[in-house]
Amino acid sequence: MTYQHQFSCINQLGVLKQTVSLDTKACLNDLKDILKYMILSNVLDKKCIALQRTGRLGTFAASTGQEAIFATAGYLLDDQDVYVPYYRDQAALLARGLAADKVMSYWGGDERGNDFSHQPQDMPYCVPIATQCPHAVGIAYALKYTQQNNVVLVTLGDGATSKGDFYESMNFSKIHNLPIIYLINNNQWAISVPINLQSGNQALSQKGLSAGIDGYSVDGNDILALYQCLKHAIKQAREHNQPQLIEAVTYRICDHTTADDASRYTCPETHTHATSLDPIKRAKLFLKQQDHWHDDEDLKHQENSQKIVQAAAEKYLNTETQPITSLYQYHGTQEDTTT
Amino acid sequence: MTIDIVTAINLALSQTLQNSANTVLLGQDIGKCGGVFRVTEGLQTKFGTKRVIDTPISESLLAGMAVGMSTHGLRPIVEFQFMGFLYPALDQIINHLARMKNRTRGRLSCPSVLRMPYGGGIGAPEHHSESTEALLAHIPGLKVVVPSTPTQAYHLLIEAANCNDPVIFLEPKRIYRSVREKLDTEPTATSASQPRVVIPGNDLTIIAWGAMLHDTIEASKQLNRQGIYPEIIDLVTLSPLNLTLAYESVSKTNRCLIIHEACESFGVGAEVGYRIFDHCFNYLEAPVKRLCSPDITIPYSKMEHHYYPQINDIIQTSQALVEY
Ligand SMILES: Cc1ncc(C[n+]2csc(CCOP(=O)(O)OP(=O)(O)O)c2C)c(N)n1
Ligand SMILES: [Mg+2]
Repeated sequence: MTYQHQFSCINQLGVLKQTVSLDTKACLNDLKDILKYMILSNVLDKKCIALQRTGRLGTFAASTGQEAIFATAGYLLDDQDVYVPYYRDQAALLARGLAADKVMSYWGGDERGNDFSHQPQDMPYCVPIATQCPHAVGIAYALKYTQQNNVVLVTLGDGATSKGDFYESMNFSKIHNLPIIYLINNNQWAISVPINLQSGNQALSQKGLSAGIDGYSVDGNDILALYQCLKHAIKQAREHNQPQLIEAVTYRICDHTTADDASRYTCPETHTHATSLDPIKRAKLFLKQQDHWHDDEDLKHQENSQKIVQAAAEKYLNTETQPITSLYQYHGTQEDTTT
Repeated sequence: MTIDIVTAINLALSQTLQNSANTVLLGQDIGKCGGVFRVTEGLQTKFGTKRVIDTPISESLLAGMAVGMSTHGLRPIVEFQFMGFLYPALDQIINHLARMKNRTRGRLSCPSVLRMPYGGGIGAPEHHSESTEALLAHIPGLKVVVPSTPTQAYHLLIEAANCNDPVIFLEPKRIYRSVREKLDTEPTATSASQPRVVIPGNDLTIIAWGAMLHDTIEASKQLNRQGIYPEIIDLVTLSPLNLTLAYESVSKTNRCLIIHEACESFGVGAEVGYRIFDHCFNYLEAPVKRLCSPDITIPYSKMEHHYYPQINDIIQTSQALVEY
C-alpha cells in the first residue's frame, strides 16, 4: 500500500524532468494520439457552449483544462475493458470511439446520446454524484467472476469523494481484490465549493488508505505523468487484481456547467494562473522537443477537429426527435395499460 | 414592488436567521454562490459561515446531521440541490428524522426544514426534474408542504422553521421566477399550510398545487369563456392531508379533478381521490378524475412536454368531466 506525493514528468515549458526516463518511442506516438483527442475535446467543448448559448443545446458540462486526464484514460484502456464515466468525460469517450454528435445528443436532451454502441460494454453518463462507483465494483466483480482479463476504470470528481458510495465501493473492491481503477478529476471545485471545504485530506489519493488501496496523486495537466501512472495502475489491476486510486490534480478553468457563473465565487488571479497551465499547450511543447509534433501540426489538427465538430453539429441539428412511442418502450414490465 | 418566489424564500430565511439564533442553514453551494437557484444569496455574507454552511456532497450526512442538530438545540434548515439528489438521504429521513419523536416517546424531536426544488419543465438535464413527493408523503411523521406564490412561500417557510417537527418544503422551480406579487409580510389569520380556494366556481372542483396550480388557473380562464367555472383549490400541504375544504367544494360542484406532475400510479392524487370518493360519495355525479404524468421515466428535455399535463389537457379533461 503506497501513497506518493504529486507525480509529474514534464515542466511547464514542456521539458522532461531529469529523473524521468522515457521508456519507448511507442509512448511518444501514443502521447501524440492522446493530444489529438485533447484538441478534439477542447474544440467540441467550445462548440457545445456556443450551441447552448444560442438555444440549441441544453445545459452542458465542459472539461476545458482537464482534457489530459480523460483523453489518457480513454486511450489507454483496451477495447474490452469497461469505462464507467461521470459526466465530464468527453475526451475519454471520444478516445474510445464515441461520435461527437452523440455528446451533443446527450446534452441536447436526447436519450440516444447514452447509446454507446461504439463500446457497448461501457456504462452511460452518470449524474447523481458518485453513484457510478458501486456500479464499477459490480462490473469488476463480474469480470473477475467470468475470468475475463479486463479492467474497469471509473471516473469521478473531487466532490464525489465525499460520498459514501465512493468509500463503500473502494472497501469492497479491496476485500475481493478486484480489477478496478478509480480516477479522480480533482479540478478543485464542486460547483462553487472549493476543495478545502470538501475534504480535510492533504491529497485525495490518501482516501485509498482507508480501504487499503494504493493511491497516487499525479499532475493532471502533465500528459506523460498521467500516461505512466495510468499505465501502471491498469497493469496492477489487470495482472494482479489490485484496485487502484489515482487523483489527477488539475483546475476547472471553465464554469461548472453552462448554468453556472464561476466568476461569482472564484478568484481571478488563480483562474488566470490555472489557465496558463493548459495541458494542451504543455503537451505540444513537450512533443515538439521530442520531435513528435511540428509547428504546422498545431493548425492542422485544430482545423481537423473543427471539421469533425462542425459535421457533428450538423448531424445533431438535423437528427429527427424520437417517436413518442419510444418514451414507453424501454421500461420493465408494464402490466396494466388501461388508462 | 413585486417579488418572485426565490426572493420570498430568501427573505423568509433571512428573517428566520435574524429572529432565531439557533437556526443554521446547510447545503451544497449555499454560501458564496447563494445556491444554484440563488435562494440563499447574500445570507452567508450577512450571517457568517458558522450559520450558513457550505457542505460537501453528502446528502445522507446532511439529513443525519439535521437529526443530531435538531435533537440538540439547533434548528437546521437544509437545502438539497434538487429533489433527484435527495435519495441518499432517505435512510436518515425515514429511519430517524421522521421517527425520533415516536421512538423516544417524545423525549427527542427533530425541528428541521428540508428544502428542495422539485418538478420539471425547465429543460434541465436528467435527474433534475423529479416530482417524487409521494415517497415523502407516504412517511408518517413528516409534514410535506408546497408553496405556489411568493407571499405564501414566505409565510409557509416561516411557519415550517417554527414547527417543532420535521417539515419537507418543496419548491416548484418552474415558477421560481415567473410568479410575482407584492409581498405581504402580515401573518394571516389561518395557518399558511391550510388548503385554500384560489378561484371559486360551481361546475367542478380542481385540486392542484405548486407549478401545476398556475397552469390550472390559466386553463380555467379559457374554460370560463366556454361557460365552465371550476372551483380551484390549492392543496398546499400534501401530508398530513386536510381535505375539509375539498369535501365542501365537491359537495357543491359534484365533480372533482386532481392534477399533479408526478406520474399517476401511487401518486398523491390516488390518496386525495380515494378520500373524496369516500367522503363525497353521495354527491358525486362523475368519477373522481386524475390528470397526471404517465407511468414512465421522465423523458430528457427534448421530449419532456410529452410527459407533463399541459394546459390543453386540463381544459379537455375538465370539459369531459362536466359533460359526463
Ligand atoms: C448526489 C448529488 N448531489 C448533488 C448533485 C448536484 N451536483 C451536480 S455536479 C456537482 C458538483 C460535483 O463536483 P465534483 O464531484 O468535484 O465534479 P466536477 O463537476 O467538479 O467535475 C453537484 C453538487 C448531484 N448531481 N448529485
Ligand atoms: Mg470537481
